[in-house]
Amino acid sequence: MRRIATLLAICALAMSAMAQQKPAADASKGVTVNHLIGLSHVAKNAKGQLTVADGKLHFAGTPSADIAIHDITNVQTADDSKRLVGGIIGTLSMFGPYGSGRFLSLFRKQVDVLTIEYRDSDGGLHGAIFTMADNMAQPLKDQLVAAGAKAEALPPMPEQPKEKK
Amino acid sequence: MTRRILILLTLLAATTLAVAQKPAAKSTKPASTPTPESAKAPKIESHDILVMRPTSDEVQLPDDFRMAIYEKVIDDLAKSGRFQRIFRDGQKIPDDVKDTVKLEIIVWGFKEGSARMRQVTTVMGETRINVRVKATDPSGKELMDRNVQGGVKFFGENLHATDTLATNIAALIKRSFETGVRPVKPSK
Repeated sequence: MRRIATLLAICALAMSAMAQQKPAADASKGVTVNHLIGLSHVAKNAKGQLTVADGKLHFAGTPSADIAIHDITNVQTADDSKRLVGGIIGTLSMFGPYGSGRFLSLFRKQVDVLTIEYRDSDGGLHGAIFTMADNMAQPLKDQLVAAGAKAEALPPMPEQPKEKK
Repeated sequence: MTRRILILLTLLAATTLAVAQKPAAKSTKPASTPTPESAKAPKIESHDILVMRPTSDEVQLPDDFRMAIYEKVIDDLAKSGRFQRIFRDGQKIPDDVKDTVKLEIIVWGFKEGSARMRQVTTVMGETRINVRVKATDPSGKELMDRNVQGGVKFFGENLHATDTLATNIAALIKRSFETGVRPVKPSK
């Protein structure tokens, strides 16, 4: 019993250490992304490489897609996290004995979210969302902005009404 | 004796955690019109719909949530096959299209929970989004104004809340509209 607990603790520590390794933030060679939604003809959760070149944002995956940078009306980045052990194994681990699944759920890796708003040829608004490794979205956003994409400043937080004491 | 103390401590910890959770950033729930089913309101007759980008003047909604709601609502409406044409925000509407209903999604409540908290405790860390779904005709006359909620209570990442919200919005629209278009199953 104690051995299993020790083994689990070691596994979790190793995974946590792996998750904390930060990749080098170099977006010029392309960034590996997960397409969540928004690119027409590209499946949800499709993996691919995102590059900025020749006035286009190119998604190299199956199938590929391009967005002209002058069509991009807004680029925003955000932070999120996802389970370190995901997919089927992650789901099955929930049924592990002694709450081991829940214990594994404590370990999550940071991911960046890149949201791109763009207009098609008819002027219709689209929103494409990608997730990628931590610290990769900001360099990509900077590249897009340098190439001519627009990025709105975030509006200030609305003031919450003060509670009366 | 020890067991009683343990139970007491567990209860205390659960209460503390529940209190420590952030309150939902939301304003007062806006009044809405009754559903066509509940009040026998006439159905909205239109073949075409224009979906606007969700707005949020009262709460700060992350851009990924905003665009996920927008895209998923359009996806769900397209999948339903109940509309002849679905127009996107800003899209040029042809002159021959007269009866396009404008659909506005106004976010008035957003509570970003924690996926980790949900996975560990199962019952805490809920993510919730409250929106007002408003439909207006081309003259600006209000046809529908309803509150819809979406969220993740037990399992899933935060962005999954937009899936349930979009499904609920699409279901409401399907109930409230009489499009005269029958959904066609794609041939195999």
